[in-house]
Amino acid sequence: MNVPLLNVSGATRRFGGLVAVNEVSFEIGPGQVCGLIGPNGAGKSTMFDLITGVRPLSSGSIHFMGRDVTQEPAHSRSPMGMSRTFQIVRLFPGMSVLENVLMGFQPKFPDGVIRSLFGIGRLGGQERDARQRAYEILDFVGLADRAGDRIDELTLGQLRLVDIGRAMAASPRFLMLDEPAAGLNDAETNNLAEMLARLKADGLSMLLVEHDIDFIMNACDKIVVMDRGTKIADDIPARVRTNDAVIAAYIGKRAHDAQH
Amino acid sequence: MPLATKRASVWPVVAVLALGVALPFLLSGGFQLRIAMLIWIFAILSMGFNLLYGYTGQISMGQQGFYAVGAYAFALLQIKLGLSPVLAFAGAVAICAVLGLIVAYPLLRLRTHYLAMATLGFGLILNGVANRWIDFTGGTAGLTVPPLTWGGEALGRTGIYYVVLAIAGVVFLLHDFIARSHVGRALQAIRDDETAAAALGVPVRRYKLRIFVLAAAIAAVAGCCFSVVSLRVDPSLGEFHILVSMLTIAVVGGLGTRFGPLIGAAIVTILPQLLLQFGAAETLIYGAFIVLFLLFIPHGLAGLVENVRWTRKSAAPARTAATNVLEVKG
Repeated sequence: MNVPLLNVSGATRRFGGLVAVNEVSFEIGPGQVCGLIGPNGAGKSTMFDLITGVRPLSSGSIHFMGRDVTQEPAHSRSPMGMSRTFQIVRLFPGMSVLENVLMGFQPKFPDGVIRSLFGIGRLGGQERDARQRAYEILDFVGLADRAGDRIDELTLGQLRLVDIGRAMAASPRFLMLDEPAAGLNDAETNNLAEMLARLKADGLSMLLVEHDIDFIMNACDKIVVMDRGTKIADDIPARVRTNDAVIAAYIGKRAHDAQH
Repeated sequence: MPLATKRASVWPVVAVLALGVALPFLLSGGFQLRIAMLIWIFAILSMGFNLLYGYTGQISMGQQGFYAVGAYAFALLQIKLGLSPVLAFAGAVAICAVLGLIVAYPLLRLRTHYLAMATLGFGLILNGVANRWIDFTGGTAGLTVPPLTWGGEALGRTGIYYVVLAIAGVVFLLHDFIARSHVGRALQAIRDDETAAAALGVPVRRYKLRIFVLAAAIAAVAGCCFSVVSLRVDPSLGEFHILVSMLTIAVVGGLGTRFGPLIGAAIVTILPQLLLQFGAAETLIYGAFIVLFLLFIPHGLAGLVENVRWTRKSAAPARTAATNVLEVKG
């Protein structure tokens, strides 16, 4: 890989005196699935917020497909091909399942009322195509028969799938998933893993923040491990599993030695 | 009950407008026609409020201020500058749009009841200006608006009705276009969850600004229509009872629905007239009616008609509030 899909370079984020993310650098290549793990308070979620644009960096930079996106607001990342899901499912409760997925197509529609009115002739076709695609996506995640349901009629596992479907609607090059397996039972987790494998087979790059170590070891090509804001490992799963610093961070033994 | 998965049709709106065209032939007498015009005017005002609050979740308690500014601007542009009614109309709407932008820019960083209080303050300031800047606004006596003319003669009541209907029709179609299109979905997304909306590419702040400006402009349109009908503007246009009517329409008709503003406006305008026969008990019955609505049909009549969609809405504000807390804590 010559140009990495995502390049995080010296990313730092301070909250007052606390350095939540400290000089973290890593790369994700095209088609790669990268895991981001670490014990509680390691800075994973903050790192995720920096990459998705929810929070600005204190210093450092983030490049996506060779383009500097450090200063880009969250809402301009989805149109560039960076889509995300949420740990605490954040679907729109006022909309049906289908409409939630349709929201993923938003960047493909004209922006605002005036441009939409000028393009009103094409709008019907665009809406029809988007609905067609939304049904295909719901079919892909196995929820085609729930298209008209309200969000509160679905289980947590199904909500996660709708969330992923909604992110997929933007045809992303890079999908960022924030603890997709959290709160799921074994069957739901297996279903999710199988779906992510299918997406990976289609060549989609992903970043997975996850607590479930088995889930992430199986799903990822490489794993970045963080502890107390710094990167302590960046390697293939098999070697991360036996990395001393990683074991120390998770077990807690010799944690102090590993840091210094 | 499943929600509709098909795209909503424009035909109900066309049918309603056709009924509007036929109305002068169905009604007896000028008084009923005047009531019909008031319904359309309140429907226009409420459609702006519906887009802003019902769809986007941004409350404004200052809509009556824009309504009054629109009406006054329409009158003053004709009286002081001698503009034609058409130009005065365009000018009044433009003035309110600019005023809306000036108000929205600093205020839209506020949310929920803070936004409500700030916009309420804006409305009160404008009301003070209308009452006390006597040289310009005519004070409490207000201003006389020149009547619309057609071919040198003052336009009759039916003619004025069709002018109001044409304007209301345009606003209704625009309101409905937004409600049924991807733009309406984006607005609902902002209402339900701003962070998730932004993650899906919705420019949240820009959309909130635009919709606030649009709602201000629509309120101005309603104000102009009222001037045309009443031939007089006075400070009562920007007073509390207009806001209360708007909120009542929202409750009765249903917020965030396609037909809520029109259904609500019709009931809120007609019902007090029907209750007049009860004399002093009118206000009591009207109040009891509103309370019953809140208790048993909290999502309005349009909410009943447009299936269960609105029943979800009650969960949305609570969820947004919780999200805000999290964002503040970082």
